[in-house]
Amino acid sequence: MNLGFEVDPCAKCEEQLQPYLDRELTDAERLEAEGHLDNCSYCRKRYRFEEELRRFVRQATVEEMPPALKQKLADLRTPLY
Amino acid sequence: MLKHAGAMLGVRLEAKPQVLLLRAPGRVVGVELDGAIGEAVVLGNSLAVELRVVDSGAGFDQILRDRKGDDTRSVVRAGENERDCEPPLVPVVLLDYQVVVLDPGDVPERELVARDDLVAFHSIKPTRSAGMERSPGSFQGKTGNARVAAMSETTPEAEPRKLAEEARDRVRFEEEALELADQVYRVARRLVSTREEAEDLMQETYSRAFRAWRSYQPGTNLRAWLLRILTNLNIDRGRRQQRSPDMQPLEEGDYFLYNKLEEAGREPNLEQERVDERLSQDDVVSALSAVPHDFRDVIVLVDIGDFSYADAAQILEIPIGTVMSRLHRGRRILKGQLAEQALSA
Repeated sequence: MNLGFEVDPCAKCEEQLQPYLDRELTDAERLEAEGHLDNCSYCRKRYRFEEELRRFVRQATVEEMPPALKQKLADLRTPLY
Repeated sequence: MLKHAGAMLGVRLEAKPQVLLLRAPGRVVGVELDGAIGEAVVLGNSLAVELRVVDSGAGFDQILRDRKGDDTRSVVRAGENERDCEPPLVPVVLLDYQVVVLDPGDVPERELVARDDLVAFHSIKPTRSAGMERSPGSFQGKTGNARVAAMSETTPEAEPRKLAEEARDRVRFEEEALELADQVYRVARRLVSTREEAEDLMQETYSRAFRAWRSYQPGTNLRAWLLRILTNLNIDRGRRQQRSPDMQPLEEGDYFLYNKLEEAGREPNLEQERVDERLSQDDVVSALSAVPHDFRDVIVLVDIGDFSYADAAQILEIPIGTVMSRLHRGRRILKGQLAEQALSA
């Protein structure tokens, strides 16, 4: 971990973790974060973990729509005659 | 003759003022009016149909036979949904063009081979104006667009055209909205606690969406539009009036969960570990449902719904900065919950 004089790059990288994974960083910010990640295994591990965690949360919370509901929604359309 | 591939459907025009919707892109529809034969062609992907007279001499049944050999089953009696009935008795209002819809969703799988035979008729508000009766010689020409002179005389032509256009737009809207239902449900399911609530919410949402379809601007994000209705309905249910418990977010940074697990010595080489070996699906679901609503909504929209911050802001009608701060706090609360689950395992 670099405890630099001005800004701790790992602290900055940590702040960028969420917007990075949300693809909400500007190109310059993204390149900056990636540049740091290339050289910092401490942050890299944590980014990977977060990515994996998100993937897992998304996967674990998926519940498919019951087919009967799909039919009910279709029935709400303009009625057949 | 027309080059369009596809089955032909026989339609005999009658004077009842209804607009026929046949969901049959790429199909040719045969139309008879006063002994003249017309063909309506569904144009491209559009549901609009161009109708033109192709023959005023030959019998309609003959045309059908020419098109389909001896098989003239390709006619459904409107209102009865009959199959294999004698052609062709479908009442429609003859417009410059008609909207024609064949609904594959209503066809059971085993009948797909016969899909051409099944036609679903969606009604739109009938134009109950006077003078809808046809009169002989109402075609304006053998090859031009078919028109009903009597209708044009007494009904502003723009009205049925507008109705048909509107019907086409609405049908398209309904189809697109239904195609998104699976994705909308995934989000809805996590915005509320139970499956029953999610199902109710979905039905209310689609019912409202189908009524309010005109306020949707084509080309914009329909999924976000639907979810905006859904989240508004959810708020209307008074859920938000219950104050969220005052849950303090963790002061630690975003590396918190990793650090916590590492400190606990559970897995020194955590990056190699699959998260799902430590946390069960139920753990995640219960951790997420323990996150207060305001924060959870944003997490669900962004992480499960894959919406951008800007979309989430629009859906929830909150500033983008609020989306970001709620997401930030919400994820930390979620991770705190997950840490408890993981460390107590």
